[in-house]
Amino acid sequence: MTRVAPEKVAALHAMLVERKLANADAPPAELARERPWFVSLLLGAAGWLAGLFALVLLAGMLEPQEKGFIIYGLLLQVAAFFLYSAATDSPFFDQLALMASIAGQLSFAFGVGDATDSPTATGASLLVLQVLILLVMPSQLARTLAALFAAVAWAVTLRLAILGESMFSSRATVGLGTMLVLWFVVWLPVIVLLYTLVRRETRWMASAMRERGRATVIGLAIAAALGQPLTAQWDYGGGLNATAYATDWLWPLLGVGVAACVGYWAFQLRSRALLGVAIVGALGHLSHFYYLLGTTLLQKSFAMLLLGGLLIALGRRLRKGVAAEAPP
Amino acid sequence: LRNTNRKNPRRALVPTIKSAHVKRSELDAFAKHYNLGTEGVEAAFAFVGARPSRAEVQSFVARSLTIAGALLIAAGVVFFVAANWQAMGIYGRFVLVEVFVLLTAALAIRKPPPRIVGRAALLLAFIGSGALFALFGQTYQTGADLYELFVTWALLGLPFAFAASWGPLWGVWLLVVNTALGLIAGFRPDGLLGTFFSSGELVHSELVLCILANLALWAVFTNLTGVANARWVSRLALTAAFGFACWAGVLATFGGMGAGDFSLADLLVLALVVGLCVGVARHALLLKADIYPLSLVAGTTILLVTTGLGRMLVEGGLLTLALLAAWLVVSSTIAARRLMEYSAEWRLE
Repeated sequence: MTRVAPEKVAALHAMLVERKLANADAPPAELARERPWFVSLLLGAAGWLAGLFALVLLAGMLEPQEKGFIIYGLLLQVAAFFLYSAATDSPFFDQLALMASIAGQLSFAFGVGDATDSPTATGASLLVLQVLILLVMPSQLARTLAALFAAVAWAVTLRLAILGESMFSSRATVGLGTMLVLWFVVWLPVIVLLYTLVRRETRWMASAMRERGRATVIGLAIAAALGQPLTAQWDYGGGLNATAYATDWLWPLLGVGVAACVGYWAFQLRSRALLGVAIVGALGHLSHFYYLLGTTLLQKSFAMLLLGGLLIALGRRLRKGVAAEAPP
Repeated sequence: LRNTNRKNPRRALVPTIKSAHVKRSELDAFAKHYNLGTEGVEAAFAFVGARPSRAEVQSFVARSLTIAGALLIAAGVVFFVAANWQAMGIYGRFVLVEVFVLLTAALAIRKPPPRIVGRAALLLAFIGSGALFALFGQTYQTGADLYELFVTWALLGLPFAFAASWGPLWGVWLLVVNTALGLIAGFRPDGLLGTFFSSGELVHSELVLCILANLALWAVFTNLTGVANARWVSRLALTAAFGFACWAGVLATFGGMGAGDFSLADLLVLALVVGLCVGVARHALLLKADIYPLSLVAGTTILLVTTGLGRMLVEGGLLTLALLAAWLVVSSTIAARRLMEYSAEWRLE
């Protein structure tokens, strides 16, 4: 396992001992280096795909009915928990556990969906399951994925609950007020929670909740930056039509705003990976403007020129402020 | 540990998050091991510069606003031209775009790179030149294919990219190049998946060209320091090379489907992809600088073997499913373990 250089850890520890903020007798810490994002992506993607194959294998071998899927789903979570707990620092068991957990979650979702015949109930039960995984599972990757999927389940459940039958044709049947209510109900708590977690980072880092807090910050930040389409107006019935509503510009604008907030918090956390996610999210939401055919190209052009000029002027003013504050 | 809290805010005019020598997960583990209280964590944060200073935040916001503003203005100009297409005469259209390119180039000369204004102006000039080529093609109906526009744009926009020596501009330039390559290879905007699996319209040799072109760009960005001034640009080029390699490899793996057997072209493409993986892995192992190329090799290998096993799924049934799940777990575990070991060894050396 890669470790942070011991002399760095020792220097930090010595400083804290000097200030009487740490115990001098504690044995030196051997800190594992953070796994690069692309290695985590490789492991996560492979684990997910393996979980999918495992679920199909399970269904093919055991041929369970609706309750059977739920029971197998929960049993697989228990198996994943023991696999994670039994072998710390073993990537093989970690991957095996991730596969079991993913297969279990999919099995659980399928079983609940089949038993209740209600997408809202399925979404809500998945939300509960993800929160439980976030709190209980002894793996940082599993916790982070759980936080991300919990946010997605939260958004989908509320969308289903508020819009009901018009889930997929909200453009034609749902008013702006309802969509705005949905957006605020879904994203305001997420944004407030993220803001609080970033602001009070040192507090929760000093408690037993530090790993869960970290996973929640990363999972929620990714969901907020990329998940904005979950609360936008959709119209899959008639495609993108030319009589779109004049307020369509609102959704990508809100999305860009949230992605910008995530980018700022990523900078606060000094996380390049999260900053990259925020940039991808912002560009994705911005590109949505192109498809908003209800607004003329000229209007879009003026809006962008005006906003672009404003941003550059603001940036220039800020830079001058920084230069003025600098000592000669 | 180096205290990265910069006393001189001038240095922070180029904001960076490179200064985070100790990452958050490492600080989490440190706080856990020494059972630190809030004060202890705050002291550790201050010591390692875990939170950016006020000057760093201001610089970051200023830089982000400038880049976002420049991109918005560029998009706004393109939209403005498109909106007034019918109303403007031919000369009016050309004058508008040419004046835009000239003004941005003049601004870059007046406030040259590495100043952010000069770099942003060159980015605008590059995007404006693309709009100019599109205008030329549409006005005079040259009969050229769409990919030719992107190739011309990439080639004639090179001076702007070299003058800026700036990662974001090279990143945009790479996107233009790869759009051209994708168009050459058969990608059409009306659906990636449809194109991906319609092997009949795709020619292997064109996908090979895309791989080799990106590989050459990776070599340039890796070896010529100061061209892009950012490691992520060379990584982007290599990612594109492996993206096309995966595309070609998956097509070749399924190429024999229905016909019952692989064609010679399929086998050659697979051999090339294997050669690419071996070559890049060997280079990375010799250089001992970055594990990212190795992770691309690992990902491509896992994907292509999974695809190959998937081919057997039709006949293999449940046994193949078990094999696929086991392969994915074992291969990704070994890959991650080796990658982290290399990362540790190379850091020490």
